[in-house]
Amino acid sequence: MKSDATGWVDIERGLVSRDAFVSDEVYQLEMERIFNRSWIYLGHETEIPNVGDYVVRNLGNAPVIVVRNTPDSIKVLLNSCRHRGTKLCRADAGNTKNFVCPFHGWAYEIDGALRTTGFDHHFRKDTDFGTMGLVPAPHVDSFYGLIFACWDDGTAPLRDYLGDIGWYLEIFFNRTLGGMEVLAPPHRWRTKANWKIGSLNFIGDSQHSPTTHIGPSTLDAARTIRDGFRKHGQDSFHVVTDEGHGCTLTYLAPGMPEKNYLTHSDALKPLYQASLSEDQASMLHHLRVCVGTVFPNMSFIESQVGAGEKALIIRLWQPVSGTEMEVLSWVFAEKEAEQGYKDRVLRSGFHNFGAAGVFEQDDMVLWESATAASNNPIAQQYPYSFQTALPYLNAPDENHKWPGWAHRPADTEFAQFWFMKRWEALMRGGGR
Amino acid sequence: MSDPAKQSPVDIENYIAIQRFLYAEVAMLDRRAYQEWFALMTDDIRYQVTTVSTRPAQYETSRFAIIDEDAQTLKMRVDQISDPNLTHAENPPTLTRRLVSNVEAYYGERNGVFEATSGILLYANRAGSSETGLYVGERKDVLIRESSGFRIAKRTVNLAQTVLQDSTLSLLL
Repeated sequence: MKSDATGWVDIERGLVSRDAFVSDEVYQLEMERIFNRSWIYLGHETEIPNVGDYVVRNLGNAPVIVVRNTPDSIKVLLNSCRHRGTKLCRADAGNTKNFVCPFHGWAYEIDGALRTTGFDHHFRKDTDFGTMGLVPAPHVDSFYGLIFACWDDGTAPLRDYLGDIGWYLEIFFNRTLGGMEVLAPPHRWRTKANWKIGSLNFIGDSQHSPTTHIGPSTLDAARTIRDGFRKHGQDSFHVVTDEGHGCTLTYLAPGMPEKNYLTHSDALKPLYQASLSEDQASMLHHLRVCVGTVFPNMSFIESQVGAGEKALIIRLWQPVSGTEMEVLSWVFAEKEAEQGYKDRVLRSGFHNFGAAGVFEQDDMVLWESATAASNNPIAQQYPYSFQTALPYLNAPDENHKWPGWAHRPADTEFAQFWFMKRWEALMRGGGR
Repeated sequence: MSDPAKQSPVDIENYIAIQRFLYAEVAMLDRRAYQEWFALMTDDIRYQVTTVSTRPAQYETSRFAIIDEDAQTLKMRVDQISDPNLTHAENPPTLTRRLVSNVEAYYGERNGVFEATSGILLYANRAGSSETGLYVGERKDVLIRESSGFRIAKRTVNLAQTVLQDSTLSLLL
């Protein structure tokens, strides 16, 4: 299979071309057809609480400034001067009253409008300075603090784009009145692996856990991880949505000692009951791990593994090329929580899943290995296998009462293949 | 750690003893004697590695931890990379060389306690990778002298990095 009109995903046989995971041509097409048309996660409102606060991120492969320009409004501006292209913000984050280009001095308001070039008197009299502000993303919206933006003028509203995954995101990001807050700047690291490996890993790759993560699961004295990997509760399932999002919910297996599992903080549970619907609150009960992906490249996990508090993490798989990504990883806790609890959540979160996480370190070397070994013409004749998805396609759980399409059991490649099918549809130019 | 400007540097005898200890300690890490290294930690060890989120020069840089371990969680990290059956990141082992320099040492808050600062450069050649990982930073240690020698009660490694380039920091600094 080559990257041409025949496509990359073989739905009949459950195979995906390796081109999709190594080719720079595919990466360029992804930027055009997926990243410049989809709502992309950029950060969390609590990273920029005050007017003038900004962080720099990427929207697709374009560098942007995410700035709070009024107490109630966030702008996403191309981080490139309209004059000769220099970045207005060269630090990772800061606070400012305006953006002044260090090259020739063009100055912009924090909403992006051009204030002065410094040489306005040399421009022709009919120059329309009103059209010469920093290029704004036409659509910016947030979902319970999660900031998304989209370059495509004609996109559907964010809530429609999120669709049924919103119900699940609410359970993690809107379960107290105060909402969640970011506990530290994001860990950032470069990995020479294709970004989709991250998205697929989080939407539902239960099969990698026992082998990739044999270290933490063996060393976990309470055996919570090992037992959890091997014995998924019957209530565990994948859920996917029409937009290509999905998550995997893993519950305690019957007979497993619940006391070994730290669940959510007792102090916070009453707050959850007040904010969540009865169904949403019941979803959290006995939940061991929820791990999911918002198409295309935002993932989230709430997990309690080994020692430490249950930690909620957002992960961004920022494509750099066909064979490299930059990973950003944030840890969250409820605003209402005590500082000591937040500190423990942060430590537990990045002990397991940070730039040096005991889980992440083994994922990263194996993802790099897969990318390196696939990036040659011989290997590219042999597509990746997603075959354990096939028996479960078109077989949703009809008794599923919550939003999305649920599929059982939770240890098939169904959700991953669903993601790749959505990816293929968009790459062929459809799906808008 | 107290303010170095207000501290008194140790005498030459202690200085050499501390420098030798720091050399011996990284040599353990380079020969992957991780358990032996872990035995140098006190029971209340706090082991931290930090990186930076950059800010414009008029603001303070934001430094934050990427590793923050106590004895229990540090032991899990050590056990994982010590056992070839439990690690992929360090099997095959990464080839490493740690260079320690710019050592300074001060008398601590009580007798037998010392504070040491040193520069660390970790060269890491990961198995099967054409890339070379480089980690460079400042280490700040609290050392306690016991009858058997020095032990580390606190270590903070401040890396001069924003985005780690080496995929994952599975190694110890």
